Amino acid sequence: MIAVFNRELKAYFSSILAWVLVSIYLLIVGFIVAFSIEDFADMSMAAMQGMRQANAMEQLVPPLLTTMGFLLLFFLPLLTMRLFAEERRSGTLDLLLTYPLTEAQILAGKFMAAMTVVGMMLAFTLSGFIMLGRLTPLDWPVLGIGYLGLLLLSAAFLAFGMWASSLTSSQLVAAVVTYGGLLMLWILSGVDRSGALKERFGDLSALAHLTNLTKGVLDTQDLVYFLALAALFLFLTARVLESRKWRG
Amino acid sequence: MISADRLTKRFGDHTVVDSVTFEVEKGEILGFLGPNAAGKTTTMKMLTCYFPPTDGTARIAGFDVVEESLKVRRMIGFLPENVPLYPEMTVREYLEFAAAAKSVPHADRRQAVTQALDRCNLGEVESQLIGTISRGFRQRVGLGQAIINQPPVLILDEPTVGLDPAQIRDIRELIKELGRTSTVILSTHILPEVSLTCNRVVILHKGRIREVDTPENLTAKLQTVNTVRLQVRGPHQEIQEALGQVQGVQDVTRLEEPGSEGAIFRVQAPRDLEVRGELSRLIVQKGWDLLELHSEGISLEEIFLNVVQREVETNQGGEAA
Repeated sequence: MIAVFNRELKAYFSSILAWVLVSIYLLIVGFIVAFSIEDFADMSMAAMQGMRQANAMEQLVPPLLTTMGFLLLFFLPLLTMRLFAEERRSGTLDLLLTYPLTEAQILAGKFMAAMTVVGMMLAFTLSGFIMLGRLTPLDWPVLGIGYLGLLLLSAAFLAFGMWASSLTSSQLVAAVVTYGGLLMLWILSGVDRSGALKERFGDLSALAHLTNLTKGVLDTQDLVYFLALAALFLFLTARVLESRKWRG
Repeated sequence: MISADRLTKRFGDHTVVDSVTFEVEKGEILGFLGPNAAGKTTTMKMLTCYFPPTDGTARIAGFDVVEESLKVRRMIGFLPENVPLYPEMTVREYLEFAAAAKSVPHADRRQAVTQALDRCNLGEVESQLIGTISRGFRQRVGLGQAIINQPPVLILDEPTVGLDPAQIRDIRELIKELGRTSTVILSTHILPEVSLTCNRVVILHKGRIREVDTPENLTAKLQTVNTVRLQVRGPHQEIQEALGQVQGVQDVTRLEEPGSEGAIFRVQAPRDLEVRGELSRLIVQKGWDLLELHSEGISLEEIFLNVVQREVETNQGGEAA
Protein backbone atom coordinates (compact mmCIF):
# COMPACT_ATOMS: atom_id res chain seq x y z
CA MET A 1 0.00 0.00 0.00
CA ILE A 2 2.83 2.39 0.92
CA ALA A 3 4.48 1.82 -2.48
CA VAL A 4 1.27 2.79 -4.29
CA PHE A 5 0.75 5.74 -1.92
CA ASN A 6 4.26 7.08 -2.54
CA ARG A 7 3.96 6.63 -6.30
CA GLU A 8 0.62 8.42 -6.46
CA LEU A 9 1.82 11.29 -4.31
CA LYS A 10 4.88 11.70 -6.55
CA ALA A 11 2.64 11.52 -9.62
CA TYR A 12 0.44 14.32 -8.24
CA PHE A 13 3.33 16.66 -7.60
CA SER A 14 5.42 15.77 -10.64
CA SER A 15 2.54 16.91 -12.84
CA ILE A 16 1.60 20.55 -12.99
CA LEU A 17 -2.07 19.71 -12.37
CA ALA A 18 -1.79 19.20 -8.60
CA TRP A 19 0.19 22.42 -8.15
CA VAL A 20 -2.29 24.38 -10.26
CA LEU A 21 -5.27 22.90 -8.42
CA VAL A 22 -3.84 23.58 -4.96
CA SER A 23 -2.75 27.09 -5.93
CA ILE A 24 -6.06 28.10 -7.48
CA TYR A 25 -8.05 26.62 -4.61
CA LEU A 26 -5.94 28.56 -2.10
CA LEU A 27 -6.22 31.72 -4.18
CA ILE A 28 -10.01 31.52 -4.32
CA VAL A 29 -10.33 30.63 -0.64
CA GLY A 30 -7.92 33.48 0.16
CA PHE A 31 -10.10 35.97 -1.72
CA ILE A 32 -13.24 34.70 -0.06
CA VAL A 33 -11.68 34.85 3.43
CA ALA A 34 -10.41 38.40 2.79
CA PHE A 35 -13.81 39.64 1.58
CA SER A 36 -15.59 37.82 4.39
CA ILE A 37 -13.36 39.48 6.96
CA GLU A 38 -14.16 42.86 5.41
CA ASP A 39 -17.89 42.08 5.51
CA PHE A 40 -17.56 40.89 9.08
CA ALA A 41 -15.80 44.14 10.04
CA ASP A 42 -18.72 46.09 8.59
CA MET A 43 -21.17 43.85 10.44
CA SER A 44 -19.25 44.35 13.66
CA MET A 45 -19.39 48.11 13.26
CA ALA A 46 -23.11 47.99 12.61
CA ALA A 47 -23.65 45.63 15.53
CA MET A 48 -21.68 47.85 17.89
CA GLN A 49 -23.90 50.77 16.93
CA GLY A 50 -26.88 48.60 17.80
CA MET A 51 -25.18 47.55 21.07
CA ARG A 52 -24.90 43.94 19.93
CA GLN A 53 -21.71 41.96 19.51
CA ALA A 54 -21.05 40.28 16.15
CA ASN A 55 -20.04 36.61 16.56
CA ALA A 56 -17.54 35.32 14.02
CA MET A 57 -18.24 31.69 14.94
CA GLU A 58 -21.88 32.16 13.95
CA GLN A 59 -21.86 34.73 11.18
CA LEU A 60 -18.51 34.21 9.48
CA VAL A 61 -16.99 30.75 9.98
CA PRO A 62 -19.90 28.40 9.01
CA PRO A 63 -20.64 30.07 5.65
CA LEU A 64 -16.90 30.24 4.93
CA LEU A 65 -16.43 26.51 5.60
CA THR A 66 -19.52 25.65 3.56
CA THR A 67 -18.17 27.68 0.63
CA MET A 68 -14.84 25.88 0.97
CA GLY A 69 -16.73 22.57 0.82
CA PHE A 70 -18.65 23.72 -2.24
CA LEU A 71 -15.37 24.66 -3.95
CA LEU A 72 -14.02 21.17 -3.26
CA LEU A 73 -16.82 19.87 -5.47
CA PHE A 74 -15.11 21.55 -8.42
CA PHE A 75 -11.54 20.63 -7.55
CA LEU A 76 -11.68 17.03 -6.32
CA PRO A 77 -12.97 15.45 -9.56
CA LEU A 78 -9.80 16.80 -11.21
CA LEU A 79 -7.73 14.99 -8.58
CA THR A 80 -9.51 11.65 -8.92
CA MET A 81 -10.15 11.50 -12.66
CA ARG A 82 -6.73 10.07 -13.53
CA LEU A 83 -6.39 7.61 -10.64
CA PHE A 84 -7.70 4.57 -12.51
CA ALA A 85 -8.78 5.91 -15.91
CA GLU A 86 -5.22 6.82 -16.89
CA GLU A 87 -3.82 3.52 -15.60
CA ARG A 88 -6.49 1.66 -17.55
CA ARG A 89 -5.76 3.64 -20.72
CA SER A 90 -2.00 3.15 -20.54
CA GLY A 91 -2.20 -0.51 -19.43
CA THR A 92 -0.25 0.06 -16.20
CA LEU A 93 -3.27 -1.17 -14.22
CA ASP A 94 -2.94 -4.61 -15.86
CA LEU A 95 0.66 -4.80 -14.72
CA LEU A 96 -0.13 -3.47 -11.24
CA LEU A 97 -2.78 -6.16 -10.79
CA THR A 98 -0.16 -8.86 -11.40
CA TYR A 99 2.04 -7.54 -8.58
CA PRO A 100 1.67 -9.17 -5.15
CA LEU A 101 -0.81 -6.51 -4.03
CA THR A 102 -4.48 -6.91 -3.18
CA GLU A 103 -7.10 -4.68 -4.78
CA ALA A 104 -7.70 -3.19 -1.32
CA GLN A 105 -4.02 -2.23 -0.99
CA ILE A 106 -4.00 -0.54 -4.41
CA LEU A 107 -7.22 1.26 -3.58
CA ALA A 108 -6.03 2.35 -0.13
CA GLY A 109 -2.72 3.66 -1.54
CA LYS A 110 -4.44 5.78 -4.16
CA PHE A 111 -7.15 7.02 -1.79
CA MET A 112 -4.68 8.00 0.91
CA ALA A 113 -2.51 9.86 -1.62
CA ALA A 114 -5.51 11.87 -2.83
CA MET A 115 -6.56 12.51 0.80
CA THR A 116 -3.04 13.76 1.56
CA VAL A 117 -3.25 16.31 -1.26
CA VAL A 118 -6.67 17.49 -0.01
CA GLY A 119 -5.35 17.53 3.57
CA MET A 120 -2.52 19.80 2.44
CA MET A 121 -4.94 22.07 0.58
CA LEU A 122 -7.13 22.42 3.65
CA ALA A 123 -4.16 22.82 6.01
CA PHE A 124 -2.95 25.82 4.00
CA THR A 125 -6.38 27.45 4.29
CA LEU A 126 -5.97 27.46 8.08
CA SER A 127 -3.64 30.45 7.70
CA GLY A 128 -6.70 32.58 6.82
CA PHE A 129 -8.40 31.60 10.07
CA ILE A 130 -5.20 32.23 12.05
CA MET A 131 -5.23 35.80 10.67
CA LEU A 132 -8.91 36.09 11.52
CA GLY A 133 -8.17 34.86 15.03
CA ARG A 134 -5.97 37.89 15.58
CA LEU A 135 -8.90 40.18 14.79
CA THR A 136 -11.70 38.43 16.64
CA PRO A 137 -11.89 35.56 19.12
CA LEU A 138 -12.43 32.16 17.47
CA ASP A 139 -13.62 28.92 19.04
CA TRP A 140 -10.88 26.60 17.78
CA PRO A 141 -12.51 23.26 18.76
CA VAL A 142 -15.63 24.31 16.83
CA LEU A 143 -13.46 25.28 13.87
CA GLY A 144 -11.75 21.87 14.21
CA ILE A 145 -15.11 20.13 13.88
CA GLY A 146 -15.78 22.21 10.77
CA TYR A 147 -12.47 21.08 9.27
CA LEU A 148 -13.28 17.49 10.22
CA GLY A 149 -16.48 17.97 8.23
CA LEU A 150 -14.48 19.17 5.22
CA LEU A 151 -12.16 16.16 5.48
CA LEU A 152 -15.09 13.75 5.70
CA LEU A 153 -16.79 15.48 2.76
CA SER A 154 -13.52 15.14 0.80
CA ALA A 155 -13.26 11.44 1.67
CA ALA A 156 -16.78 10.84 0.33
CA PHE A 157 -16.15 12.95 -2.79
CA LEU A 158 -12.80 11.27 -3.50
CA ALA A 159 -14.30 7.79 -3.08
CA PHE A 160 -17.05 8.70 -5.54
CA GLY A 161 -14.48 10.13 -7.96
CA MET A 162 -12.30 7.02 -7.72
CA TRP A 163 -15.29 4.84 -8.48
CA ALA A 164 -16.12 6.94 -11.54
CA SER A 165 -12.47 6.76 -12.63
CA SER A 166 -12.44 2.98 -12.26
CA LEU A 167 -15.35 2.66 -14.70
CA THR A 168 -13.67 4.17 -17.74
CA SER A 169 -10.36 4.69 -19.49
CA SER A 170 -11.24 8.32 -20.28
CA GLN A 171 -10.25 10.91 -17.69
CA LEU A 172 -12.74 13.34 -19.16
CA VAL A 173 -15.65 10.91 -18.78
CA ALA A 174 -14.53 10.15 -15.22
CA ALA A 175 -14.46 13.86 -14.37
CA VAL A 176 -17.87 14.55 -15.93
CA VAL A 177 -19.50 11.60 -14.12
CA THR A 178 -17.95 12.78 -10.85
CA TYR A 179 -19.13 16.38 -11.34
CA GLY A 180 -22.64 15.17 -12.12
CA GLY A 181 -22.81 12.82 -9.15
CA LEU A 182 -21.36 15.25 -6.62
CA LEU A 183 -23.49 18.14 -7.78
CA MET A 184 -26.56 15.95 -7.44
CA LEU A 185 -25.47 14.99 -3.93
CA TRP A 186 -24.94 18.64 -3.02
CA ILE A 187 -28.24 20.02 -4.30
CA LEU A 188 -30.40 17.09 -3.26
CA SER A 189 -32.06 18.91 -0.38
CA GLY A 190 -32.86 21.86 -2.67
CA VAL A 191 -34.41 19.58 -5.29
CA ASP A 192 -36.40 17.53 -2.79
CA ARG A 193 -38.74 20.40 -1.89
CA SER A 194 -41.65 18.19 -0.95
CA GLY A 195 -39.38 16.27 1.42
CA ALA A 196 -40.47 12.91 -0.02
CA LEU A 197 -36.90 11.65 -0.37
CA LYS A 198 -35.91 12.92 3.06
CA GLU A 199 -38.91 11.20 4.60
CA ARG A 200 -38.01 7.88 3.03
CA PHE A 201 -34.19 7.84 3.15
CA GLY A 202 -33.28 10.56 5.64
CA ASP A 203 -31.31 13.60 4.55
CA LEU A 204 -29.13 12.51 1.63
CA SER A 205 -27.77 15.96 0.83
CA ALA A 206 -24.06 16.48 1.51
CA LEU A 207 -24.72 20.17 2.10
CA ALA A 208 -27.12 19.53 4.97
CA HIS A 209 -24.69 17.22 6.75
CA LEU A 210 -21.73 19.56 6.22
CA THR A 211 -23.72 22.54 7.51
CA ASN A 212 -24.19 20.85 10.89
CA LEU A 213 -20.47 20.17 11.21
CA THR A 214 -19.47 23.71 10.17
CA LYS A 215 -21.53 24.97 13.11
CA GLY A 216 -19.56 22.72 15.44
CA VAL A 217 -22.39 20.22 15.91
CA LEU A 218 -20.81 16.78 16.15
CA ASP A 219 -23.75 14.54 15.30
CA THR A 220 -23.20 10.80 14.72
CA GLN A 221 -25.66 10.93 11.82
CA ASP A 222 -23.43 13.34 9.91
CA LEU A 223 -20.28 11.32 10.60
CA VAL A 224 -21.98 8.07 9.58
CA TYR A 225 -23.37 9.72 6.43
CA PHE A 226 -19.94 10.75 5.10
CA LEU A 227 -18.12 7.62 6.28
CA ALA A 228 -20.82 5.36 4.81
CA LEU A 229 -20.69 7.23 1.51
CA ALA A 230 -16.88 6.90 1.36
CA ALA A 231 -17.01 3.21 2.33
CA LEU A 232 -19.76 2.48 -0.22
CA PHE A 233 -17.87 3.96 -3.16
CA LEU A 234 -14.53 2.46 -2.11
CA PHE A 235 -16.27 -0.91 -1.93
CA LEU A 236 -17.81 -0.37 -5.37
CA THR A 237 -14.41 0.61 -6.77
CA ALA A 238 -12.89 -2.58 -5.38
CA ARG A 239 -15.71 -4.57 -7.00
CA VAL A 240 -15.02 -2.86 -10.34
CA LEU A 241 -11.33 -3.80 -10.07
CA GLU A 242 -12.24 -7.37 -9.20
CA SER A 243 -14.78 -7.59 -12.01
CA ARG A 244 -12.04 -8.73 -14.42
CA LYS A 245 -12.07 -12.01 -12.48
CA TRP A 246 -15.69 -12.84 -13.09
CA ARG A 247 -16.45 -11.00 -16.32
CA GLY A 248 -16.54 -13.08 -19.41
CA MET B 1 8.13 -25.17 -12.37
CA ILE B 2 5.01 -24.27 -14.38
CA SER B 3 2.16 -26.62 -15.15
CA ALA B 4 -1.13 -25.93 -16.90
CA ASP B 5 -3.83 -28.55 -16.96
CA ARG B 6 -6.75 -28.15 -19.37
CA LEU B 7 -6.55 -24.38 -18.95
CA THR B 8 -9.62 -22.79 -20.55
CA LYS B 9 -10.87 -19.22 -20.81
CA ARG B 10 -14.23 -18.28 -22.24
CA PHE B 11 -15.65 -14.79 -22.71
CA GLY B 12 -19.36 -15.33 -23.16
CA ASP B 13 -19.77 -17.92 -25.91
CA HIS B 14 -16.31 -17.27 -27.29
CA THR B 15 -13.60 -19.68 -26.18
CA VAL B 16 -10.28 -17.84 -26.28
CA VAL B 17 -8.14 -20.57 -24.71
CA ASP B 18 -9.35 -24.12 -25.09
CA SER B 19 -8.10 -26.85 -22.77
CA VAL B 20 -4.42 -25.97 -22.92
CA THR B 21 -2.08 -28.39 -21.13
CA PHE B 22 1.71 -28.01 -20.88
CA GLU B 23 4.59 -28.13 -18.43
CA VAL B 24 7.73 -26.06 -18.19
CA GLU B 25 10.79 -27.42 -16.39
CA LYS B 26 13.02 -25.31 -14.20
CA GLY B 27 15.54 -23.32 -16.25
CA GLU B 28 13.70 -23.85 -19.53
CA ILE B 29 12.79 -21.10 -22.02
CA LEU B 30 9.43 -21.95 -23.55
CA GLY B 31 8.08 -20.04 -26.53
CA PHE B 32 4.37 -19.52 -27.21
CA LEU B 33 4.12 -19.19 -30.93
CA GLY B 34 0.97 -18.20 -32.73
CA PRO B 35 -0.69 -15.56 -34.84
CA ASN B 36 -2.63 -12.67 -33.30
CA ALA B 37 -5.69 -13.87 -31.33
CA ALA B 38 -4.18 -17.36 -30.87
CA GLY B 39 -4.73 -17.12 -27.09
CA LYS B 40 -1.12 -16.41 -26.08
CA THR B 41 -1.81 -13.26 -24.05
CA THR B 42 -4.92 -14.73 -22.42
CA THR B 43 -2.95 -17.80 -21.32
CA MET B 44 -0.28 -15.54 -19.88
CA LYS B 45 -2.87 -13.42 -18.07
CA MET B 46 -4.19 -16.57 -16.40
CA LEU B 47 -0.68 -17.63 -15.39
CA THR B 48 0.00 -14.18 -13.92
CA CYS B 49 -3.28 -14.28 -11.93
CA TYR B 50 -4.74 -11.28 -13.79
CA PHE B 51 -7.91 -13.29 -14.21
CA PRO B 52 -8.81 -16.87 -13.32
CA PRO B 53 -9.38 -19.63 -15.87
CA THR B 54 -12.97 -20.57 -16.68
CA ASP B 55 -11.87 -24.20 -16.44
CA GLY B 56 -8.75 -26.15 -15.67
CA THR B 57 -5.88 -25.31 -13.34
CA ALA B 58 -2.39 -23.89 -13.45
CA ARG B 59 0.37 -24.05 -10.87
CA ILE B 60 3.55 -22.05 -10.63
CA ALA B 61 6.30 -23.34 -8.34
CA GLY B 62 3.64 -25.59 -6.79
CA PHE B 63 1.17 -22.77 -6.04
CA ASP B 64 -2.28 -22.66 -7.61
CA VAL B 65 -2.90 -19.48 -9.62
CA VAL B 66 -6.43 -19.11 -8.23
CA GLU B 67 -6.19 -20.40 -4.67
CA GLU B 68 -2.73 -19.02 -3.91
CA SER B 69 -2.70 -15.99 -6.18
CA LEU B 70 -0.55 -13.75 -3.95
CA LYS B 71 2.10 -16.45 -3.53
CA VAL B 72 2.17 -17.00 -7.29
CA ARG B 73 2.50 -13.28 -7.94
CA ARG B 74 5.55 -13.17 -5.64
CA MET B 75 7.16 -15.90 -7.77
CA ILE B 76 6.72 -14.25 -11.17
CA GLY B 77 7.98 -11.33 -13.15
CA PHE B 78 5.65 -10.24 -15.94
CA LEU B 79 6.32 -8.08 -18.96
CA PRO B 80 3.02 -7.25 -20.69
CA GLU B 81 2.80 -6.51 -24.37
CA ASN B 82 3.49 -2.82 -25.19
CA VAL B 83 5.31 -2.38 -21.85
CA PRO B 84 3.01 -0.10 -19.85
CA LEU B 85 5.12 2.22 -17.69
CA TYR B 86 4.69 5.53 -15.86
CA PRO B 87 6.20 8.21 -18.12
CA GLU B 88 6.43 10.82 -15.36
CA MET B 89 8.85 8.69 -13.30
CA THR B 90 12.58 8.33 -13.83
CA VAL B 91 13.88 4.84 -14.57
CA ARG B 92 15.37 4.52 -11.08
CA GLU B 93 12.21 5.82 -9.37
CA TYR B 94 10.12 3.34 -11.32
CA LEU B 95 12.34 0.39 -10.41
CA GLU B 96 12.28 1.52 -6.77
CA PHE B 97 8.49 1.57 -6.93
CA ALA B 98 8.40 -1.90 -8.52
CA ALA B 99 10.75 -3.23 -5.82
CA ALA B 100 8.55 -1.81 -3.05
CA ALA B 101 5.31 -3.00 -4.69
CA LYS B 102 6.80 -6.48 -5.08
CA SER B 103 7.65 -6.59 -1.37
CA VAL B 104 11.44 -6.57 -1.77
CA PRO B 105 12.63 -5.94 1.84
CA HIS B 106 13.48 -2.28 2.43
CA ALA B 107 17.13 -3.04 3.24
CA ASP B 108 17.61 -4.92 -0.05
CA ARG B 109 15.84 -2.48 -2.37
CA ARG B 110 18.80 -0.33 -3.30
CA GLN B 111 20.81 -3.41 -4.25
CA ALA B 112 17.86 -4.92 -6.16
CA VAL B 113 17.48 -1.72 -8.20
CA THR B 114 21.23 -1.51 -8.90
CA GLN B 115 21.26 -5.15 -10.03
CA ALA B 116 18.26 -4.64 -12.32
CA LEU B 117 19.88 -1.51 -13.80
CA ASP B 118 23.11 -3.46 -14.39
CA ARG B 119 21.54 -6.61 -15.83
CA CYS B 120 19.33 -4.65 -18.21
CA ASN B 121 22.06 -2.14 -19.14
CA LEU B 122 20.04 0.84 -17.97
CA GLY B 123 22.83 2.74 -16.23
CA GLU B 124 23.00 5.53 -18.80
CA VAL B 125 19.28 6.35 -18.56
CA GLU B 126 18.62 5.70 -14.85
CA SER B 127 17.97 9.39 -14.11
CA GLN B 128 15.91 10.06 -17.23
CA LEU B 129 12.13 10.27 -17.29
CA ILE B 130 10.64 7.12 -18.80
CA GLY B 131 8.58 9.29 -21.15
CA THR B 132 11.77 10.55 -22.79
CA ILE B 133 13.69 7.29 -23.40
CA SER B 134 13.71 5.18 -26.57
CA ARG B 135 11.49 2.18 -27.23
CA GLY B 136 14.44 -0.18 -26.74
CA PHE B 137 15.23 1.28 -23.33
CA ARG B 138 11.53 1.17 -22.37
CA GLN B 139 11.57 -2.53 -23.14
CA ARG B 140 14.62 -2.91 -20.92
CA VAL B 141 12.89 -1.00 -18.11
CA GLY B 142 9.94 -3.40 -18.50
CA LEU B 143 12.31 -6.33 -18.14
CA GLY B 144 13.98 -4.56 -15.21
CA GLN B 145 10.72 -4.35 -13.27
CA ALA B 146 10.00 -7.99 -14.09
CA ILE B 147 13.29 -9.21 -12.58
CA ILE B 148 13.50 -6.71 -9.72
CA ASN B 149 12.44 -9.32 -7.11
CA GLN B 150 14.59 -12.03 -8.75
CA PRO B 151 11.57 -14.21 -9.51
CA PRO B 152 12.11 -17.85 -10.43
CA VAL B 153 9.59 -17.47 -13.28
CA LEU B 154 9.51 -14.81 -15.99
CA ILE B 155 6.50 -14.39 -18.29
CA LEU B 156 7.18 -12.11 -21.24
CA ASP B 157 4.44 -11.17 -23.68
CA GLU B 158 5.83 -10.21 -27.10
CA PRO B 159 9.09 -8.87 -25.64
CA THR B 160 10.54 -7.72 -28.98
CA VAL B 161 7.48 -6.29 -30.69
CA GLY B 162 8.01 -2.82 -32.15
CA LEU B 163 11.81 -2.87 -31.82
CA ASP B 164 14.35 -2.34 -34.58
CA PRO B 165 16.68 -5.24 -35.53
CA ALA B 166 19.55 -4.08 -33.32
CA GLN B 167 17.22 -3.67 -30.34
CA ILE B 168 15.67 -7.09 -31.02
CA ARG B 169 19.12 -8.69 -30.94
CA ASP B 170 19.95 -6.92 -27.66
CA ILE B 171 16.69 -7.95 -25.98
CA ARG B 172 17.08 -11.52 -27.26
CA GLU B 173 20.53 -11.74 -25.69
CA LEU B 174 19.16 -10.28 -22.48
CA ILE B 175 16.35 -12.86 -22.35
CA LYS B 176 18.86 -15.67 -22.89
CA GLU B 177 20.92 -14.24 -20.05
CA LEU B 178 17.84 -14.01 -17.80
CA GLY B 179 16.99 -17.60 -18.75
CA ARG B 180 20.13 -18.75 -16.92
CA THR B 181 18.57 -17.88 -13.56
CA SER B 182 14.84 -18.05 -14.26
CA THR B 183 12.32 -20.23 -16.03
CA VAL B 184 10.96 -18.19 -18.92
CA ILE B 185 7.78 -18.27 -20.97
CA LEU B 186 7.73 -15.83 -23.84
CA SER B 187 5.14 -15.29 -26.49
CA THR B 188 5.74 -14.09 -29.99
CA HIS B 189 4.32 -14.17 -33.45
CA ILE B 190 7.79 -13.57 -34.91
CA LEU B 191 9.00 -17.03 -35.87
CA PRO B 192 12.82 -16.67 -35.84
CA GLU B 193 12.46 -15.31 -32.32
CA VAL B 194 11.53 -18.73 -30.95
CA SER B 195 14.21 -20.75 -32.70
CA LEU B 196 16.88 -18.31 -31.55
CA THR B 197 15.77 -18.05 -27.94
CA CYS B 198 13.67 -21.02 -26.82
CA ASN B 199 14.39 -24.60 -25.79
CA ARG B 200 10.83 -25.64 -26.55
CA VAL B 201 7.95 -24.29 -28.60
CA VAL B 202 4.20 -24.42 -28.03
CA ILE B 203 2.32 -23.64 -31.23
CA LEU B 204 -1.04 -22.13 -30.39
CA HIS B 205 -3.77 -21.54 -32.91
CA LYS B 206 -7.33 -20.46 -32.20
CA GLY B 207 -6.84 -21.07 -28.50
CA ARG B 208 -5.62 -24.66 -28.79
CA ILE B 209 -2.19 -26.23 -28.64
CA ARG B 210 -1.22 -27.65 -32.04
CA GLU B 211 2.33 -28.78 -31.35
CA VAL B 212 4.73 -28.85 -28.39
CA ASP B 213 8.34 -29.76 -29.01
CA THR B 214 11.87 -28.47 -29.45
CA PRO B 215 12.47 -26.45 -32.63
CA GLU B 216 14.76 -29.28 -33.85
CA ASN B 217 12.17 -32.03 -33.27
CA LEU B 218 9.47 -29.95 -34.90
CA THR B 219 11.72 -29.53 -37.90
CA ALA B 220 12.36 -33.26 -38.12
CA LYS B 221 8.70 -34.10 -37.60
CA LEU B 222 7.24 -31.64 -40.04
CA GLN B 223 9.91 -31.52 -42.72
CA THR B 224 8.42 -33.16 -45.80
CA VAL B 225 11.22 -32.45 -48.26
CA ASN B 226 15.00 -32.23 -48.26
CA THR B 227 16.03 -28.81 -49.58
CA VAL B 228 19.56 -28.05 -50.85
CA ARG B 229 20.80 -24.61 -51.79
CA LEU B 230 23.56 -24.30 -54.39
CA GLN B 231 25.53 -21.38 -55.74
CA VAL B 232 27.21 -22.24 -59.05
CA ARG B 233 29.15 -20.25 -61.66
CA GLY B 234 28.40 -21.42 -65.21
CA PRO B 235 25.66 -21.43 -67.87
CA HIS B 236 22.50 -20.94 -65.79
CA GLN B 237 20.00 -22.70 -68.03
CA GLU B 238 22.24 -25.70 -68.58
CA ILE B 239 22.97 -26.05 -64.87
CA GLN B 240 19.27 -25.95 -63.98
CA GLU B 241 18.47 -28.66 -66.51
CA ALA B 242 21.38 -30.86 -65.36
CA LEU B 243 20.35 -30.56 -61.70
CA GLY B 244 16.83 -31.61 -62.63
CA GLN B 245 18.24 -34.82 -64.15
CA VAL B 246 19.81 -36.04 -60.87
CA GLN B 247 18.01 -39.10 -59.57
CA GLY B 248 15.41 -38.31 -56.92
CA VAL B 249 15.37 -34.52 -57.50
CA GLN B 250 11.77 -33.33 -57.51
CA ASP B 251 12.17 -29.65 -58.21
CA VAL B 252 14.84 -27.10 -59.10
CA THR B 253 14.16 -23.39 -58.65
CA ARG B 254 16.51 -20.57 -59.59
CA LEU B 255 16.53 -17.86 -56.92
CA GLU B 256 16.91 -14.23 -57.88
CA GLU B 257 19.41 -12.64 -55.52
CA PRO B 258 20.78 -9.45 -57.08
CA GLY B 259 24.51 -8.90 -56.65
CA SER B 260 25.34 -12.53 -55.94
CA GLU B 261 28.05 -14.26 -57.89
CA GLY B 262 26.94 -17.04 -60.28
CA ALA B 263 23.43 -18.48 -60.03
CA ILE B 264 21.61 -19.70 -56.94
CA PHE B 265 19.38 -22.77 -57.08
CA ARG B 266 17.08 -24.45 -54.59
CA VAL B 267 16.84 -28.19 -55.18
CA GLN B 268 14.16 -30.30 -53.50
CA ALA B 269 14.27 -34.07 -53.01
CA PRO B 270 12.36 -36.52 -50.77
CA ARG B 271 13.09 -36.06 -47.06
CA ASP B 272 15.02 -39.31 -46.63
CA LEU B 273 17.09 -39.03 -49.84
CA GLU B 274 20.58 -37.53 -49.57
CA VAL B 275 21.39 -35.79 -52.88
CA ARG B 276 24.22 -33.43 -51.91
CA GLY B 277 27.03 -35.83 -52.97
CA GLU B 278 25.43 -36.48 -56.32
CA LEU B 279 24.86 -32.77 -56.97
CA SER B 280 28.44 -31.75 -56.12
CA ARG B 281 29.92 -34.54 -58.28
CA LEU B 282 27.76 -33.49 -61.22
CA ILE B 283 28.90 -29.86 -61.02
CA VAL B 284 32.58 -30.79 -60.76
CA GLN B 285 32.29 -33.27 -63.67
CA LYS B 286 30.71 -30.57 -65.84
CA GLY B 287 33.59 -28.20 -65.02
CA TRP B 288 31.40 -25.55 -63.41
CA ASP B 289 32.50 -23.70 -60.26
CA LEU B 290 30.70 -24.81 -57.11
CA LEU B 291 30.70 -21.73 -54.87
CA GLU B 292 28.34 -22.92 -52.14
CA LEU B 293 26.25 -25.96 -51.25
CA HIS B 294 24.28 -26.55 -48.08
CA SER B 295 21.20 -28.28 -46.82
CA GLU B 296 18.38 -25.94 -45.76
CA GLY B 297 16.31 -26.93 -42.73
CA ILE B 298 12.62 -26.18 -42.71
CA SER B 299 11.97 -22.78 -41.18
CA LEU B 300 9.65 -22.33 -38.26
CA GLU B 301 7.52 -20.27 -40.57
CA GLU B 302 7.02 -23.34 -42.75
CA ILE B 303 6.42 -25.51 -39.69
CA PHE B 304 3.81 -23.09 -38.47
CA LEU B 305 2.11 -22.90 -41.85
CA ASN B 306 2.20 -26.72 -42.09
CA VAL B 307 0.51 -27.05 -38.72
CA VAL B 308 -2.20 -24.54 -39.56
CA GLN B 309 -2.67 -26.00 -43.05
CA ARG B 310 -2.95 -29.51 -41.61
CA GLU B 311 -5.68 -28.31 -39.28
CA VAL B 312 -7.61 -26.63 -42.09
CA GLU B 313 -7.44 -29.85 -44.11
CA THR B 314 -8.56 -31.91 -41.11
CA ASN B 315 -11.52 -29.59 -40.56
CA GLN B 316 -12.47 -29.67 -44.23
CA GLY B 317 -12.19 -33.46 -44.22
CA GLY B 318 -14.41 -33.63 -41.14
CA GLU B 319 -17.03 -31.32 -42.66
CA ALA B 320 -17.02 -33.27 -45.97
CA ALA B 321 -17.51 -36.52 -44.06
